[in-house]
Amino acid sequence: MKTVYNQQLNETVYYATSRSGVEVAIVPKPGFSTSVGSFGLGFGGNDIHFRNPQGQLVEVPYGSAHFLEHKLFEGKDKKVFDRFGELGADFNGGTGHRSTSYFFETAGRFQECLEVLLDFVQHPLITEERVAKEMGIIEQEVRMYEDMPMSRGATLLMKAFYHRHGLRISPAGTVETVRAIRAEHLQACHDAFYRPNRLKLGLAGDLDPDETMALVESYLDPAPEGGRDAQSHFPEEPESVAEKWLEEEFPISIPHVWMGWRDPRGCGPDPEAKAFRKLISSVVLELAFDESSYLHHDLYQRGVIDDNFGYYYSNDDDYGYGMLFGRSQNPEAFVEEIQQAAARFLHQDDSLERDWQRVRRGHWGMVVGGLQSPYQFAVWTMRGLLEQWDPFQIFHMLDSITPEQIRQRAREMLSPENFAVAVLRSS
Amino acid sequence: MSPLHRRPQQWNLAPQVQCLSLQEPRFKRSLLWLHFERPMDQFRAGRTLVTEVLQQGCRRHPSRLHLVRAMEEAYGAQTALHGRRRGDVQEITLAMQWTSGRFLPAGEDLCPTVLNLGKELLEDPRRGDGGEPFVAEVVERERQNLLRRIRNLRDHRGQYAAERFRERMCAGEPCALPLTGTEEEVTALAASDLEQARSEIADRASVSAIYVGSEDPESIREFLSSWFGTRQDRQALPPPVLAEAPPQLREYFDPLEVEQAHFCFGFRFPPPADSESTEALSLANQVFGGGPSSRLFQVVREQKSLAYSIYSLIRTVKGHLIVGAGIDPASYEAVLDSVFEQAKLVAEGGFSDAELETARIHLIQDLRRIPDSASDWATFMDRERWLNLNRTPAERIRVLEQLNREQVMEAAQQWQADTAYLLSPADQKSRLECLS
Repeated sequence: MKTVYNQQLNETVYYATSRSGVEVAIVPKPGFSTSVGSFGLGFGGNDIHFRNPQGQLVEVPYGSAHFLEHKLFEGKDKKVFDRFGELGADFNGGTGHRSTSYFFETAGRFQECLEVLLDFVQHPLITEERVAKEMGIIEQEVRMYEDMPMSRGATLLMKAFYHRHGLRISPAGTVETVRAIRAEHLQACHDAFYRPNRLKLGLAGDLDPDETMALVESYLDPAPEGGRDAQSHFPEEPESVAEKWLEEEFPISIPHVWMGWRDPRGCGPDPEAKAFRKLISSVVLELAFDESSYLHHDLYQRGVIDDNFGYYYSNDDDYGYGMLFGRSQNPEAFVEEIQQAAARFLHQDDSLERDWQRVRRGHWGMVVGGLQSPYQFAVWTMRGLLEQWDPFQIFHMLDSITPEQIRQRAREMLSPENFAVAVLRSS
Repeated sequence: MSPLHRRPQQWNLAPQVQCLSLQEPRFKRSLLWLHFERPMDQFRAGRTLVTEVLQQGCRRHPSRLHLVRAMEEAYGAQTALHGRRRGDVQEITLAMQWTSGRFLPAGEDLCPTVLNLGKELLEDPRRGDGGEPFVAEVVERERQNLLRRIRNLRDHRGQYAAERFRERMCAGEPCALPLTGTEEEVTALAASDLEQARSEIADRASVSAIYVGSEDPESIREFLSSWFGTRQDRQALPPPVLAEAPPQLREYFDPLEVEQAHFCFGFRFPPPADSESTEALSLANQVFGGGPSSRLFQVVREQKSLAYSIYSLIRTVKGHLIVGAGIDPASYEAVLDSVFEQAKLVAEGGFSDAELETARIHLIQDLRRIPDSASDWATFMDRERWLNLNRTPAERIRVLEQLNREQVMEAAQQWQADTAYLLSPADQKSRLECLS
């Protein structure tokens, strides 16, 4: 097994690939009672057009990956809720735009829980009757998201940023797309993507890596014969924002405003480049707009922003964006203030080096605190497996970022032509 | 000794000042929570506003900017004040967290820095240049933020529904009052009211300190003793107000333009008197609505597809069992019927042995995982203190293992239906009393 060790934390991650091709990461946590398993894959809400391993083109409705996640929990012969329930384990699943994952957390029933996890994800039973039964439940979930200003506004900003990209639709789909989903769509997704070469497994707990790997092997199916890796096709996306300003009426007491800068292009499939861009872009937003920045201080003091103000950066192979959100009775003035602040940040140079040293220390402590429990390690290593970085790489990246790189990324990122706004107005 | 058997050290530092401490070298980050507790009374708006004002700076770090920068310098340490309602009590918590020096590049000991910063936040605020208790601009800005938060509550549908439901079910009890105060109360607060609220929190509130981390607890004890040990006049909390359920279910409806209706339901029960009946209640709730294996989840979601999620929770000290769900408004009657049916079923023992064992093992598993997380440990210790039971996880497990079906039924037989509530579009539920 390949190992990655971090001396400062005295933590080791063991990596192996199963005979069938599943990538596995194991984090031994001696003395801990909890064990956690996370099984996931790079397949999510955006994967609606794809060529399956047999070479056929397939199209499924938006929301299919999320619906499939629900259906896997129904199990083949017995509900997964009941199987995990009898073991007293906590469990859940989650579907994003580009990934899906399933996890359990247990004290003392690791082997049985691992068997359940690997079994239900690999062996679904999807019928029209089962799909029909789930329809109402998922519709309620979609409506729940549609009632949340945060979720609604973020999706509206994606519609402003992108012309055709799948980010325009929530990973759960819409009520209409969910109603169009049939058993054949879900089966096609499972057949195409839930294959060993796509699946990743993160495990953490008081585990012996070799024994654990032997156990994993015994629960994994052999790789299917023949066929190529499924290939998703994403629509060509122009490099410009789709709409500079989008609005929607929504029953809220004060307008909610989302805005941000879209990267014209993603940074491609190179995992290191993606991870670096994500970190340095987050650092740019933090230095410009976090509570520890002069710009935030000034905006807050003048009442332009309140304690609801926040920021976020997200990216993948083919997209990247930095997002800010807040509330204002006057969205136009609010947006103007933020744009001016961004422009000031680009010209404010004297304190960057000192500020970065301080922010770097903050990151250090937070990352250390986030790599503590088996649960945190399982989640972190799963993200690493999906995005192809090791869990301790962030320390090296933090040490390597220079002020000049931050300046350069800020100039590139905070460009006015990549800026767009989404407003939820009170109805 | 298994960590499950560990009992925190307990120090009574002064009247109404208690500290629970547990040293655990495995944890990379240590935490200290200081709960300052006062009744939910007419001064709660002042306490809420002053916690916001205090976080805008102290004498040594005169703005939020300076405070946050100090925490970043301390490797992302956290020092925050926040308030919450806990039954009939307003709890203001000073929460501190820091990374152990063993995991930092130069091995810095952050503990004294963070503890002093926390203390300064509460005890050494930034005063106005003219000797005012606080800087007037800061007070006004935080007042406007708080007013906005009060007015915006209905934008957060689930939270709004829970607040409105509580107001109806608990009308007349302290816990029904809005934690933040009303718009009128917040508007009327003067700077002197805030200073009174601050000194009341610092000098007269009951204090419960909870420490979990890798540092030597003696250093924590010394710090807390020097802070709290000299004051002898802190006030004990009044006992919780316990109300009885009405003879007939009360139903309320609030209209709001929403995609999904929010359903709440409340039962009352006499608070349990001992460890055994407390765990019987937990187990009965687990069977009823405590997770994906519960009766409510299985029937309402899995069999009838009426909700994406439905759950129940207990507020032991107040004697409340609360059900919450997001539903299609047209399903109100069906969900209501299911709640009644399943509560009756649990009380009559209409659950299988397998269901009982599933509920039991779930609670036991939750307890077994507690020693692996500093915040889970602290939450456990805090709950035990709140219930005045002060057990170890192992002791709770032992009680749960010995409970039988009859004890679970007996706990559920105490549940008396009180209030049903629906937040839903106006045209959906004409039968119910319209309150807004």
